[in-house]
Amino acid sequence: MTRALIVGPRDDLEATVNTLYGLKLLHIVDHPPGAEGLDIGKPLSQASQASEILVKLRSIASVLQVPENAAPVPPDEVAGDLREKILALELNISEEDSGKKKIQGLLADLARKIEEITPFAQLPLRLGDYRGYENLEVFVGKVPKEIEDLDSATKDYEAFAVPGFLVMFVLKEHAAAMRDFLTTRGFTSVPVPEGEGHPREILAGLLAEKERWEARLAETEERLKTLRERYSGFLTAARAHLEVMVEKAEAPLRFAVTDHTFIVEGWVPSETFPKLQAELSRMPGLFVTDLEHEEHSAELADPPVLLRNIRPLRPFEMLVKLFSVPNYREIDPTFIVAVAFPVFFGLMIGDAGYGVAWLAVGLWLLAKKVREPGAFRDLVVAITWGGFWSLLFGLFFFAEAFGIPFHHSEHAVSPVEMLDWSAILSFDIPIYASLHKLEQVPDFIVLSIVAAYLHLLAGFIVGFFNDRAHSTKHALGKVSWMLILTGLFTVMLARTARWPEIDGATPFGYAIWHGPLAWFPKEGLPYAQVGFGAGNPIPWLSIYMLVGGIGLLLATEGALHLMEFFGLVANVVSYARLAAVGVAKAAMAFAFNVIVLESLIFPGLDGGNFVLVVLGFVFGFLFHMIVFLLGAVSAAIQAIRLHYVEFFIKFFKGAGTAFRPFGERTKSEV
Amino acid sequence: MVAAEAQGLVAMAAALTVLGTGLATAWAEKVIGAASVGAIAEKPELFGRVLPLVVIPETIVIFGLIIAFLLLGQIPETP
Repeated sequence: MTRALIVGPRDDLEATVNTLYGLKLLHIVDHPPGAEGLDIGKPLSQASQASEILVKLRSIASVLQVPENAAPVPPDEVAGDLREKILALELNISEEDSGKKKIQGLLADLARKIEEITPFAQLPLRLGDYRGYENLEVFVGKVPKEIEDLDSATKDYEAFAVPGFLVMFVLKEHAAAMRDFLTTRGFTSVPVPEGEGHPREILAGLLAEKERWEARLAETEERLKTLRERYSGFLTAARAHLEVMVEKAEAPLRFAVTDHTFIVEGWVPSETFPKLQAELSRMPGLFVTDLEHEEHSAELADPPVLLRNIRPLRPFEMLVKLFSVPNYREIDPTFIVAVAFPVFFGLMIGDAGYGVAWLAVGLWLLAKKVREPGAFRDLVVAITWGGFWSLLFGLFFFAEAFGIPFHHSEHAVSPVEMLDWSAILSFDIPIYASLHKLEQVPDFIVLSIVAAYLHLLAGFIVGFFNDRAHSTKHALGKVSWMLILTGLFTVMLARTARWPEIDGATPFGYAIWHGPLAWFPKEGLPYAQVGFGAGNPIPWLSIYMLVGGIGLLLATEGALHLMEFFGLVANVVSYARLAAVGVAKAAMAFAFNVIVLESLIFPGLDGGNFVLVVLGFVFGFLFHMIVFLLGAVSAAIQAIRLHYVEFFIKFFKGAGTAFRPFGERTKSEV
Repeated sequence: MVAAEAQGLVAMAAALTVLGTGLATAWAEKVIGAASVGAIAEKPELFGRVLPLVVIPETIVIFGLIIAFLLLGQIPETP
């Protein structure tokens, strides 16, 4: 990044802003008001008017319920006097809108009246009959259920009742007794509506009126809908246009000004600085230069960060940014995330069937549904790669698809366990499983620990290069962590390599310890109580590495960091989630297969009942859909978590500012 | 008979390990999850920061799982 300084006469301010906006090259650094005796500029003249229209436009858009993503009309259609157009539209729409609100109020009023009069309409009395008595008290109200033995209070009454509603005329001298009686039975009194005439006729009138107003409301809404259809494109385009205008008009607030000049400071990617300089120099009176800045000066804030990765890695920047934007002084870890995330995802799914499905779904989504670049598309890309790795692992390493292996295991007993793809396709698939998930869980865990070692080591190496630039001491601290990690890893592997054979197979730990790691000096300290027998002692070299690493750590980072040693052990073990999720998913798929095959498909095939077989396939599809979705959700979350919690904490500081050039408009920011 | 009993006890111990760590994880995540959703409601951009916090306790149950497998390795052979 180059720190650019642009100075020019105030008369050229507007033209400069327009040019800068069009160039989209400069990340403007805000000038703090009053700093170095320079005040900030004033907004351009059109600012207040533009923001006023923008406010009106937003209110119109909300009345019309213009969708956020409405397709805008071409920009030349919003040219001309926007203000006049929008004011006219506002006049038109506010009339419609207030009409709509009035009708809605009326309708609510009518609904209340109708509700009041409905029970009265069921009784044969006119409204006048309810009032104006000298000797009678009238009770009108709701009752929870029909009240029996009304006679027990008094006999001098006349009652009219429909379910839930009671009207009663009682002589005044008995009224108090009757009121008490009714209250204990849950009677709540209801006011009698005003007016004369028969309630039934009044109700009919009200209903007719309601219908009329509803028709009017529908008409108004129809008109608003027409307006929305006609203007939503215009409004979206006008909003974008105005927002640009406001942003431009308010840009001087970020500049420093004197009476006759203005000064803009900002960052430009170093290689595009000449372009900025050339473009701006075309305007007479502008002076553009690059300020010398020291990489580590405390005066200047850190430059903004523009992540640059080769195209296939770019979607994974989203996963890094979701945690934090890398700061200017550290290596962008995207390249490791881009490899490790899909590989971890693939290890956890590890099934050719689901792998193909995710690959296909991902590619379909990318081609048809998620065309717009953004965080969601990036996530889909990441998961598509995950699907690809699942397919690879599922085919060549785990050799299974949809929880059914290519070849059944030697321990298989039940017919479901005996089922394998070679039998289904009646063709001997020439790929054999290197690891059978449900039978070799300890091996899977060893594999996870190898993944942990490689991943964390990569983290420490990146951390080493980050620290080397500014502090040899901290860089050596990272070396000490690498030593400790390697010592720890070799001790763990030595313990898993106890037996050369279990159930006729070589365990992974043994295979790795005596295969790729055969060069590692094996002599050491036997400690049989915790599993380090004479055949697999704790290697001396590992002990030296642990002790040396801890010594170096004490010398460089201090005693407090020793606490993190246990954290590191926990981190390494934490990668066992790769095995845990993988096994859990495989077990789920297997269990669903057992349910479907044993209770539906096998009996169906044996009895020739094809309804059962079809039903079995339907249920099988549903069950596998669950595993497919649930497995991917947990695999994605766990893979991200391994990066954020175990991996990034080892070296990644983040807290950078993303490079955002003036003139670039982003719809949604991650 | 004695061997069978020992076998049962080891298996029981493994089951208890997973049970206890599973419950502990669930409880911890419940507390953190509720607080996190509150924080995200205020500031949606915190999502990336909060997700790792929510899943941190999962390590507990992973430890339980490892211990359980180590225990299962101790089951004596059936006579």
